[in-house]
Amino acid sequence: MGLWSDLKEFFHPITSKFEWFGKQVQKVVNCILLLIVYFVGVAMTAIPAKLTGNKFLNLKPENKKSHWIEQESKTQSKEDYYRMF
Amino acid sequence: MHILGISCYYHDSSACLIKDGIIVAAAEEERFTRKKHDTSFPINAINFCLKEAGITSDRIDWVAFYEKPLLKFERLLNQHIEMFPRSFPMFYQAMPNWLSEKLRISSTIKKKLKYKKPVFYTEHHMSHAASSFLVSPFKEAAILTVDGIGEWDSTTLGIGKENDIKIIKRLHFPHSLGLLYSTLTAFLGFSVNNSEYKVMGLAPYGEPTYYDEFKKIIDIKDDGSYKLNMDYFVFHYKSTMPSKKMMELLGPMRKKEDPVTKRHKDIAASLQKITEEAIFKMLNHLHEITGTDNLCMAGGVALNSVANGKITKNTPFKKVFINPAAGDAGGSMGAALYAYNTILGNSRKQVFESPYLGPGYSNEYIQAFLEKNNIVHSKFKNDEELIKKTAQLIHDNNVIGWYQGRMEWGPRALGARSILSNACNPNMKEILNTKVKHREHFRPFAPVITEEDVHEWFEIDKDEEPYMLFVYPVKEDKRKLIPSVTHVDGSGRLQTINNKQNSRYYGVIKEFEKLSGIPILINTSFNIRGEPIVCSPYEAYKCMMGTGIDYLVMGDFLIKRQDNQQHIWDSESLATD
Ligand SMILES: [Fe+2]
Repeated sequence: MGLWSDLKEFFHPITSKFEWFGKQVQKVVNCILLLIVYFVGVAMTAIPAKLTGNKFLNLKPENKKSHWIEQESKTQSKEDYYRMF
Repeated sequence: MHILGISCYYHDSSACLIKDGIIVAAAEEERFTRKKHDTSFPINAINFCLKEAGITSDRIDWVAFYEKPLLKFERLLNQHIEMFPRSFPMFYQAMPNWLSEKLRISSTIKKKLKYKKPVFYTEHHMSHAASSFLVSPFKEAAILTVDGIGEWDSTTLGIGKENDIKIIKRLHFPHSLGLLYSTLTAFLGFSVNNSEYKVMGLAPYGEPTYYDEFKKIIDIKDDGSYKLNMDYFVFHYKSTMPSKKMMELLGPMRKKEDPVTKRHKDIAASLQKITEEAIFKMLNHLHEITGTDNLCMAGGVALNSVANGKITKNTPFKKVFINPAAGDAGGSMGAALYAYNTILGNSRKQVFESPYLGPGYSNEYIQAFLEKNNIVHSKFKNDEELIKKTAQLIHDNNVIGWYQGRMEWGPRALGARSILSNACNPNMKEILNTKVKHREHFRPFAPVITEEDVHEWFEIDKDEEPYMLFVYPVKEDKRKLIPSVTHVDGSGRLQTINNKQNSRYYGVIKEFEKLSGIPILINTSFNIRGEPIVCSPYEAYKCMMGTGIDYLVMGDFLIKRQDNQQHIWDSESLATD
């Protein structure tokens, strides 16, 4: 145990630099992956939606008498509450 | 049957354990991790709840989570698609967290608690509604929930009958009264999801001269339904909140270090006015569709104590109940109760009567802590001596750290982790601010009053207000007697207390009345600026030694700051808020 911790301490400056480097690589990879997901996944839905005028959020002002959404909660079975959606 | 409720990953994570429908323990995670509004998985709060119940995690029968993560994720994806490509920075910021943490809640629960059964997921606003209605004194009540945002809902109207709750109408993201309030909190230079109450405190200093401008920002119908004009906001695709157009309308945003001017006060006053207008219109409509005079409220907006204090005057509701943890922390309690009462179909077993649901420490523990750390202290012989001595110290204008019994549930200090001082001293606000709190000058301190005296001092339409959730006017002839707790508009966010609720706390106020003729003290939260309320004896002692609190009354013990010079430090040098 003593030798192992001595070795760990000896190599600490190097391992911590590797750790830092690993984190930077992880950040770059994450960014690239998220860019791909965003510009493939999100864009694939967003662009046709924009072209066809489909809306995913209700952002525009509306001339309505009421803004309430009349959507009553339904009685559900115990199993329905196991769902995350 | 043990049910564990959990809320986390948005703000104020917490846990609550109920046994056969009775609340055994509940606490916010921030009190253990010492990170204000901690959002992380509440493992410390859960461990505390289990310890308090004397069980290990294998004895948990059900776990209930306070929202439906996939529904929330769906809303988030909708935001990104709608706002493509401007939403990329937010996508980049939020997505890793969603994938590594938020969507994996089920496996986190199973792994950390070694829990094998399915988890119940209740809708965010249903958890809010349940947290209030299912422990309310009402068999039937109308329910209003208003917050920043849940999954899709930001506001719901509902009705509770016995052990069932129905949501009748709702408003969806991005139209949210909570997000409007938070946006203006950011606009006025305060921190979002933290300092909304500062804006509420600032409002009485201003005039609602920006009311017409606010009418452009939010369209409120006669039935209380509303819609935000999204030209004034960017929170649906950015981490900031107000848009440039809002600055064109209301002037430049205030920076944190800028002075608070008349314009800022007027904006705060206008925001409070429009918020109240929306709430009262919603409540009038809710009364119309439910026909009951009882009201339960929950969600962050239900912490707007100024609006709450005006409900019975502006709507037909006669009785109002709000869980002291009305914000997202209360979601864990709501989810657990909803699971027990509604999902599993058990009758309601409890009316919320005590907020003292957090950790407490025995006198033996406190004594061992004091002795181990060579802290100079004395022990009171009995309750009578403790009460008399504390009242005398307060009357002599000392600031007292009051640490007694189990910690409070919810964001307010209610006589378990409080700082107490003399409400009659006109300089006490300055003294408290110099010694301990270092607050903005406009923020008031709150009074605690013995329940039997409340009608003599406040214009209040009920007999008790134990959770500091309502602001009422101080009677005009009394205002000059309690200047430190009377706000600029003559109001006070009071707490009433009786002997049954907390006998020592009540006793000190009664004794103080004998000395001063006034049954009122200043009660403010026991914490270092920017930190959560103290939880353990160590934190209480550390807080006293780092601030200007003169004495600490902790359990049966009295500790004087000046007797322990070796531990004095300056908390202000590290304060971040
Ligand atoms: Fe909420």
